Amino acid sequence: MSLAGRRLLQGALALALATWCALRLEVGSDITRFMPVGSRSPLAALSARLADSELTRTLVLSVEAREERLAARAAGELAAALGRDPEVEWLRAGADEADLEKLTALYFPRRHGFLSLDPERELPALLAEEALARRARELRLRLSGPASPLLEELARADPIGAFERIALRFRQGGPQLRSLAGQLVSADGHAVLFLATRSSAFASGVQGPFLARVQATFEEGARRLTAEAGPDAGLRLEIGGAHRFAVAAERSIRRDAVRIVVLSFGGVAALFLLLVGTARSFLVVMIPPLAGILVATSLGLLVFGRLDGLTMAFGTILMGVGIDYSVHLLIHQRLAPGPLSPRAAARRLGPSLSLGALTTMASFAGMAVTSFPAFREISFFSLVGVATAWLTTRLLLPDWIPFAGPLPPRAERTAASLAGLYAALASRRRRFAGIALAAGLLAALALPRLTWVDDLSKLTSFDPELLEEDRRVRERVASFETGRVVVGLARDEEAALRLSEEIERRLRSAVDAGHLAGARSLADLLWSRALQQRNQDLVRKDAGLPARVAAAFGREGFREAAFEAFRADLRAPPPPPLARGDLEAAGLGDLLAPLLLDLHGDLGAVAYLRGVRSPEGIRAALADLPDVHLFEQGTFASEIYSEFRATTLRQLALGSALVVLLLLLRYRAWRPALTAFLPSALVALLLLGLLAGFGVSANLFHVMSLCLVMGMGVDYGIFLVDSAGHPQGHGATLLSLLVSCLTTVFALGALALSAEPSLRAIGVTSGVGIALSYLLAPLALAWLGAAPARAPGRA
Amino acid sequence: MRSGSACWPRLAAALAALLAATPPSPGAELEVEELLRGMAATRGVVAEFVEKKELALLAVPLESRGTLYFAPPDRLARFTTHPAETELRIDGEELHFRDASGGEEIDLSTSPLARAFVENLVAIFRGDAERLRERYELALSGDAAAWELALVPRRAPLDRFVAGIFLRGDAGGMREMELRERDGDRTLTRFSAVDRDHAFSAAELARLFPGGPEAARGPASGP
Repeated sequence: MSLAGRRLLQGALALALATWCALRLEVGSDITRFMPVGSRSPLAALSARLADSELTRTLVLSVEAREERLAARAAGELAAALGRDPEVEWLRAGADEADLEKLTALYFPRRHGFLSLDPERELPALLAEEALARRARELRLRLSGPASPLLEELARADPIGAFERIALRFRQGGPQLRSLAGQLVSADGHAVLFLATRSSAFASGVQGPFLARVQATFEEGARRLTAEAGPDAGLRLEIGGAHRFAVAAERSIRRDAVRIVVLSFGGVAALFLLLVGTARSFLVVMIPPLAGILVATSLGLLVFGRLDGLTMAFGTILMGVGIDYSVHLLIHQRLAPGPLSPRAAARRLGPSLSLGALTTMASFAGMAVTSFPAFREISFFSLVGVATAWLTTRLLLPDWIPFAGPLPPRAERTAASLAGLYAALASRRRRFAGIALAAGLLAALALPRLTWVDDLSKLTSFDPELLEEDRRVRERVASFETGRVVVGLARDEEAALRLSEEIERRLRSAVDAGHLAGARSLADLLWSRALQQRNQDLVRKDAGLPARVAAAFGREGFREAAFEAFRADLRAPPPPPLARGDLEAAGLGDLLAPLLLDLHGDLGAVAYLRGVRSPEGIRAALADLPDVHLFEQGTFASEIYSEFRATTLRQLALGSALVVLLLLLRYRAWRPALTAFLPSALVALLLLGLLAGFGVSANLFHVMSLCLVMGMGVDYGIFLVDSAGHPQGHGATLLSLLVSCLTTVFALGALALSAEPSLRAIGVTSGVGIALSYLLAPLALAWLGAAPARAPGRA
Repeated sequence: MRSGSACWPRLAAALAALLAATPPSPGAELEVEELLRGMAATRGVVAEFVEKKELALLAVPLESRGTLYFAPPDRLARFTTHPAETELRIDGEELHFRDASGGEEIDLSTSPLARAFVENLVAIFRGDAERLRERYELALSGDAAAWELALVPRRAPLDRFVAGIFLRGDAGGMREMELRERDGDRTLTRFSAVDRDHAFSAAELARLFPGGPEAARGPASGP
């Protein structure tokens, strides 16, 4: 195929890929991708479930107005409209009569099985004559009220109030809201409605438009009601839930991405043009990095379906890596002393480029084997991107180099100047090497002071207004905490239910002790068969109970015959204990689902907590229960990230050993291998020392940056070692590395402008690291005076 | 089990409406429409009541005492002082009850039975005999000196629980109401000290109906 044909084919392929990516590209900011998956740990499974649980998918909408009734009306209209939205899985704005009827049908016949969590101790007092007399007095009083028809019916079959105890248990765990005109209203008069979205709260692509629909629906209703109620109606909507943070994060990342790409691209172009190039040559050197990003994005979308914002940010870094190869090839081909075809130049530099790419890929490979989808994605993206950039440089770029035209004379002059500078450096190598080694020693001494922060939530910036609104709404409805639950792990349903009963007893004590405000646990809804049976047995074996009821109630004016239904129930065989399957068969499985989780073969009995004041107190209350944990998402994630960070550091050390081995295999001598490797090792030491020296806590993103910096630092070392002993080629290498360094620093420097602290950490660390790598690589070469014993790729 | 719990408050509300009705002069022929017509004109009603409940559960009747407040067109409050303090409020289509335990308010507005009563109540408030006839068999008997209006529910859910409501009065207005339930329970409410044209102050209304516009406008003192 002719050159023009090959160019056309490559261009068409790139265009097709770019079009496909543009149509498919979906950027997410899903925090669940930073949770470990595939782990056998039930707690890891719980962590992932919580991050995408119904609780997390629940939005709380709070409507304020001049009058409660107006707020309730607006909330009612909003609920009616949102109930039809396809994204809404369920919506609760008031009591659900249908659910109440189903619950009554299931629980009323089994009411005697749900009397007490501690029946042997509690029931004798509850069924004693004195307690029954109190109950009779209270019932008589309440019968005089307007609810008497319902009470009368209840009292005939349940004079001891067993069903009322169940109803009270259901209500106690939930938010303390009252009802006004069928709408839930908070204590401070805001009408409240709860809804769960079908998609994850972090699916920002879905949640952005959905939140816009919610706002638009509310505003439309508010305009109509304001026209009726007057301009001082004061209708206002506040929203609580994770959805808004995800949408805001995605918007922030998108804004960042645009700014970073524009700045990176513009800066890299300006630097390239200033130092060596023409516009045409710039277009040529951009081919490998752009191809790398394009192929990595395409394959990433194919494999993962969508790409995380952080992955896309890493794409800009790849631009800095990928351009190194093309700049190196272009400058060497153009500044070669004799005529050298682009393909011959590519062949000559092939080993250097291959080794550089392999060592960079080795730096990212470690992340591919983690259980964190986000880091696997970044690793995949980086590996594919670097490999593509390398192969494009080696195989396709020679077709495009003729298009670049000749380099301007200043490029050759700059290369010569750099070679001269290197000669001057080499003459003072001991002094400079001494300074570098002293800096390394200082950094090593500072290392023990290095601190680590593994709580990634501290590396995320949230809009303070959104945070404040979320806090207000959550306080208004006394929401359960989304990231802190008590979980008991058991092998089967009965064991899980028994464990949840014990958890409930302990949590009640903790509430009494003031460690928390309340809890909603599995035991609010379902008890073990054994406990239901014990309750039933105690009531039924109490032969004197009907007589005591008759006596106590008779003294308050109740007819003995009125309680025949109660006596008949006690004589009849008890219904089978209530089980999970009964609730599911009645269509009430969704009530149970968040409280009894299947966690990789274990069952997790969950209790959601409200108003936690003392985690230590709760932990102490549960301390002696085996397999029961106060699970704190943040702490758990921090522990996981801490482990991941330590693993990554170990992998980095292992990767470094692998790199040294590769270098030794290639050069067959320790001196050039050490020359190529030393700068990257020293840079890693200096970076960590600098963080320690400036009192900056290091985090996972710094470690990821170290991977990048070490990978690129070794490239510099390899390119320099391979060009040593060839003055013309050496100057070209120094020039290509300078261009690479400055463009990379610029590309990463743009990341430092990000609003996201994680991206800033990557930008600053990598930028400083790459600059240091460029300074240290020639220094190492000068100090060790290395030239490869056998340099297959002479430069 | 019986669903719905608001028979009594609705009937009490209906009763309040009729308390304001001015019957024709003695000797004149009675018409339901005429009996209800007085509703539209009243500024408000305040009445004391004694209620006797005869329940199958109890060997002796339960007696309650309290005061009823009706503010046209659709607000009613029923407070008892004996045997315990309770509060029942109807405001438009809203119905709230707070029992003797002093616990949180219960919203009965979503109960289908309660809603049926509210709709009927509105019909009575408006003097809408036609609408009442859609829901009840109406039978007016006696004369202006001693009349009885019988309301027998025509359709569910009321007809499942209520056998009939009997409103009795004389030339001075309604004096008692009797509710007969299907299960034999019976409630008889007698009224006294009826102020048939009470002008409520904003402060009174704010206290009687805390969720209403008067309460929203500012602090109120008790009636």
